[in-house]
Amino acid sequence: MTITAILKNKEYVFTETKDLTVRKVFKKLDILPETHLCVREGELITEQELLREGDVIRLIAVISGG
Amino acid sequence: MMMKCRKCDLKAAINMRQHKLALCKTHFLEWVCLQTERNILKYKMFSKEDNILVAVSGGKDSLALWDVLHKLGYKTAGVYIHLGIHGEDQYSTKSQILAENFASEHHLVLHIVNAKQELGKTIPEFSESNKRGKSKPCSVCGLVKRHTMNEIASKYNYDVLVTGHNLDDEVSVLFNNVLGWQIDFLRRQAPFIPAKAGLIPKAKPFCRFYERETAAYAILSNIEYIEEECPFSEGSTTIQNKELLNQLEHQRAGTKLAFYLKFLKAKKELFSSQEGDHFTDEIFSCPICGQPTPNPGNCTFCRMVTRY
Repeated sequence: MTITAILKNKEYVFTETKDLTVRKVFKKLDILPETHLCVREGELITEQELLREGDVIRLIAVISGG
Repeated sequence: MMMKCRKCDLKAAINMRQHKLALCKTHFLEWVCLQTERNILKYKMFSKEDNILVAVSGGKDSLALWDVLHKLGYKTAGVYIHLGIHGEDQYSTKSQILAENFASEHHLVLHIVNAKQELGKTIPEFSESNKRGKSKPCSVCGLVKRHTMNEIASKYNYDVLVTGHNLDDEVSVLFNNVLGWQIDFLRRQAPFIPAKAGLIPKAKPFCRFYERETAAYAILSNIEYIEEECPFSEGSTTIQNKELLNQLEHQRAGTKLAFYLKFLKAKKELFSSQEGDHFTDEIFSCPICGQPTPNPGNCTFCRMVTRY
């Protein structure tokens, strides 16, 4: 089983899922937690959340402006 | 280990490190409303009697702000300016639809101004033909928005214009103004800018929220907003500054908040009350549009529109 993160319409699949948290996914994708939110099954989850096998999470960028 | 809400022990939806505060969905939505009300009172922005015009872009900040003000019982209407920015995703048209949907779902009035129809050109077209826009299309956009919002507010007798500027927007501008020691801009940066001849008061009730929190509010409230960025904002100074400031925030939570709040405190000592929010520069009236301008003759907006 895997865990999938969707960021800007791109999918990132993680096969090493043991003890994988949102914070670790951010780190693997070189994302600062200050700049993104994470949604799983329509619910906002914190960086500390432990992800489960088969999870599909959506990472939403929050920085805007010009 | 599951992070719990400080107030009810349910699972937290968001953790705000700068406040050492984790909250569940219900308590976070309540907290945003409560803090917004506090900001409005603290900075003496407006009251429940005032007619409030919300500058709506279709993005998370402005729609979240409109939602919060409406929930709090303020009398609001929105203004949306179709700038004619298309990109791959029909940016302006898509944003307008989202703003219209929000207004319609909440039975609120939305004034719509179409730059192409009203001014003869879109923002990209003005940018291409204007000296001002050749290096910075965003400055043309800002000029059109400031002028149009003030015009609509005056035309329909609104008491105050509110914008969805969040703390990240404010510290990005502050950082830039400090780097360049832009004294005039520093003097004018404030959560509330009182009225002066021909200019409606402006308020930023979200000025103490991180961008992450306004996005979380929109998501948790099921507000559909435009997630795509304006195609012109790529590589902008604002975004570069935000990235730098977020790196500092990551190292030390609360850095952005402290930078802004300490600036507001220092401002009182740096600028006397006469020079502060109520600055007294001489103001002239534009002979074409009647809006205020710092120099005699046509204002910058009318010069741009009539020239091109």
